[in-house]
Amino acid sequence: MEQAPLFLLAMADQLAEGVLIATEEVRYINPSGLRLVGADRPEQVVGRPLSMFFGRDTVCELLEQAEGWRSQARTEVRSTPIIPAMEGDLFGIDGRTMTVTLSAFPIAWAWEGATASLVLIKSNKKSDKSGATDGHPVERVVMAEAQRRAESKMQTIGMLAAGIIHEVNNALTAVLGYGQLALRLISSDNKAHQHIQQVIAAGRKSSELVQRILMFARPGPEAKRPVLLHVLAKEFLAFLRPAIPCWIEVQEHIADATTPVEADPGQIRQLLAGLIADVVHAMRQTGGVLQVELHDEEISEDQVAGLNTSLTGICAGRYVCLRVKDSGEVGKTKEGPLASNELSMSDRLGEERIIGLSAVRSIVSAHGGHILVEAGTGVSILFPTMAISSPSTGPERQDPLTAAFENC
Amino acid sequence: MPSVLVIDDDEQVRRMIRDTLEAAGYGVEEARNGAEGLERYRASPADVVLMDILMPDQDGLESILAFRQEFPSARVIAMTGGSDLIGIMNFLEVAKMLGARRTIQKPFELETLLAAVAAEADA
Repeated sequence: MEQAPLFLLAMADQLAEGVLIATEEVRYINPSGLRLVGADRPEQVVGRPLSMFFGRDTVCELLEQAEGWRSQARTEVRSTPIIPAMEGDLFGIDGRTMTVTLSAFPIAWAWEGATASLVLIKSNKKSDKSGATDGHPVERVVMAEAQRRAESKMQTIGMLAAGIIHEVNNALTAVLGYGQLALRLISSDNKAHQHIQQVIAAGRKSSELVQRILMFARPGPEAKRPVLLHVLAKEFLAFLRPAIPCWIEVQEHIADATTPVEADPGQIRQLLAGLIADVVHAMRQTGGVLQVELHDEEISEDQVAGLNTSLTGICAGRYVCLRVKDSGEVGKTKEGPLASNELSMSDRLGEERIIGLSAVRSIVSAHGGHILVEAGTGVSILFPTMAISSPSTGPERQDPLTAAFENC
Repeated sequence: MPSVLVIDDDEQVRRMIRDTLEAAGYGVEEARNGAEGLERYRASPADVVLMDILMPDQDGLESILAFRQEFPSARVIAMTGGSDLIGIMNFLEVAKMLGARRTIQKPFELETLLAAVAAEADA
């Protein structure tokens, strides 16, 4: 970049919009541009043809517009020239396509005999309404785009699942129906009668399982109430286990008792499913050990003081700590405790991991909890117990409350 | 003897329903989709039509509309193993809106099926 003024590059480095300087090839890209094209380092972009990112037609049009701007600037010296802008597709190096607004300006110096242009890239995506991230505007745009793709993928999965459920229900209709028909033909003292009763029982159990899956999948109204997380987690893990590949070993370390938290059970199940699916996805080929821990954890004033300053949201007190970790690389991306609002693209967690954590963060935030991503210990979530939210309900009073949580 | 027209693309389910209803004393006709069902009904109107929703060629919802237009008094019971998992629609609720008199979610107990058919046959 010795041919470009350093002050210009310094300014470009600070811009929220993506900035490229290019002849026919890219010569420079700022950090926001890197994020937009899905690259980690300038070397992944610099030296590549501009058309690789915007398509040949768009690049031609863009450069024509830039030339028009130059002509306009020459002829209308006393007025501010109108900056040409056009809409186009940005093809990221990670396979993503994003609609962007592009503006190109010819710049005053030449690159090895070719005139250079400065290209401003602005994503057309509106800001992320979910509030899932507090990061840089460009990061939010990339997040929103990734979120949209994840939602689209989930919709496809939903359609496939709906088709499978239809087939399963038809098969169960035949199993249960023929079973009941056969039962009528066999006297109750015949051994076959008992066997068919078992077939029917298994069919009914499968039918209930399908209904439970549907109940879990359907979005329901938020309803927070006192919940014993150890009961809910044990029950839900038992439900999820058949879906976890056998080459992934599941180790549960769930306390026999935990302090109640005020929570929406449906959302907590979604959170558990999200965290576990994330880890299972990471180990789907290599296998490994998935560990789920759940227990009460007392955070002292000293611990709070010793935590990262950005963890000011955590108060001393009793929490229920849910920790999901694996034997692979998940959760080992950054040293030391990391507050949820520190999770950013630059952590290089990978898109799917970020999406998973984005959904998790939204649920944790709704429950007043905190996420910690710690090197070597996976993801930990601290849920404030009712002992914190209501001082009169201390852990020592857990037992009288327990009776109220039979159906959590 | 009351008659029932069973419209379902799943052969196993069709046969099972036929066996159940015949054992209970009903006469049963079968069709593999809505269009075929409509043809059979034209040839021989049944007392009750048991209509699956998710079928190839002509699905149950479309067929319920066709029955309502051509045979407003046809007594249709809609059934499905489908779900509203993707949030588009609850098929059975839509079937009712379109004119189905009753709905049954698959899988069902035989008693549920027999009770629904008997209620419509006697209506």
